[in-house]
Amino acid sequence: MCDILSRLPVKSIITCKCICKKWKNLVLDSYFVNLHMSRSPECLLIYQSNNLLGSYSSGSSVLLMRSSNAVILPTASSNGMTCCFLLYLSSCLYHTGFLFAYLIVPHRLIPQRFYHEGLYHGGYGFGVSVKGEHKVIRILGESLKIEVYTLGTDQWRSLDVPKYLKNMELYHGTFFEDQVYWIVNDQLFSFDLDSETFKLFPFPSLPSGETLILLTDLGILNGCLSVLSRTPYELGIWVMKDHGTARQIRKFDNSITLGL
Amino acid sequence: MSTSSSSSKKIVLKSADNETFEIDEIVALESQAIKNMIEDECADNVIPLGNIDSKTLSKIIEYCKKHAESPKKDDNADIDEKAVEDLKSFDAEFAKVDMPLIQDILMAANFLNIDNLIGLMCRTIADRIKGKTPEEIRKILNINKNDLLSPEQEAKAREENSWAFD
Repeated sequence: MCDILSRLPVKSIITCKCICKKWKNLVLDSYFVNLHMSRSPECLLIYQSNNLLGSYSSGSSVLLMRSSNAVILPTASSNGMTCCFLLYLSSCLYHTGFLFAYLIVPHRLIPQRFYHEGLYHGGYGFGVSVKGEHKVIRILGESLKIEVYTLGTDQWRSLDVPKYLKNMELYHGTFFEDQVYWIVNDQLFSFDLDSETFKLFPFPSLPSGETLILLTDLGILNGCLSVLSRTPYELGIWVMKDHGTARQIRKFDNSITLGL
Repeated sequence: MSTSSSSSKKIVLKSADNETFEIDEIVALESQAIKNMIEDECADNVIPLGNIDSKTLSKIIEYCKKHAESPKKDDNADIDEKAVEDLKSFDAEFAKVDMPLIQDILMAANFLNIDNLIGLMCRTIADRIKGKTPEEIRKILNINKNDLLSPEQEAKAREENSWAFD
């Protein structure tokens, strides 16, 4: 059955969710998502003016989503999947969801909760754990609340908030090797998708005694996690050579330095 | 392996309804399962296929014959374009049967481990449900009525995915 459904385009798969219970469970399973991804052509995601999402591949484009009454915000992405935040603006009902491998994972909310808990301004991340589970994590609001959603389940689970975490407004995580990384307020920290725990990484101080200012740009460079940094005199790209312990992370190489 | 020497050897397949089909060994080798049996010398003169009826089996043999006759891609790098086209149109014609038979062929191809045929049948089913409404898909595939979502669950799923139903 997976073999058949994984050959369908995205829109048909969303229809499959309402066919029967068996199909719904099947298309929300990580195994299916991976199989479908492996059969899908590589494409560019096109995003326009908050309400249009499409894909472009080998000369043809596909409209994935168009909405006149909702705001679509692409947030974190990894391995060809993009996690989108949908904000429906109808008169009596607000609800949000994620475009998850083009499958909508629903979450219904009442308006008060929506604003108070800062879903709109939250920080999002998602990726795949070592066990192969697709997970979305969101860090919400000034009151800070951390929630995790695992693909195939029906609810968000709350997690403990680490002390060092502050406001996460619109900071989206970068997925790299089973971890989601964030830089917020000059702090680099990771979230392990298997153990669901956070880890803070200290940064080395510069020989000149200058304070290193980390910019929010995290990326993957030559297969390593990279960070953009700034001092009053230079911009730098830092590459994490070894990761896992705080000690190892001190081996950051200042690989490229641009004079200002 | 040369075609002429192996084509002389015959294999007999017996369907669930006790009909026998005598085919060249080279045709039977399209099935990885039968190939393994022959290699392990488990195959007697007659191979009983207790879960495949004669209608399905004759279709599968028709497919294997055609594919066994056609030059394989890895045999020859400069494969005849015409032969590829010919095989493509054969596959397209072959798949023009009703849904129950397609499902029977898929199950049998899965049992006999015939990769290309599994792929062809999966693609055919996928093409037939592509772009269809949930009601149409349930009808085409005769989905078990006991497994449907409750009306509330379905209404919720449809509302959430309303852009897919445009």
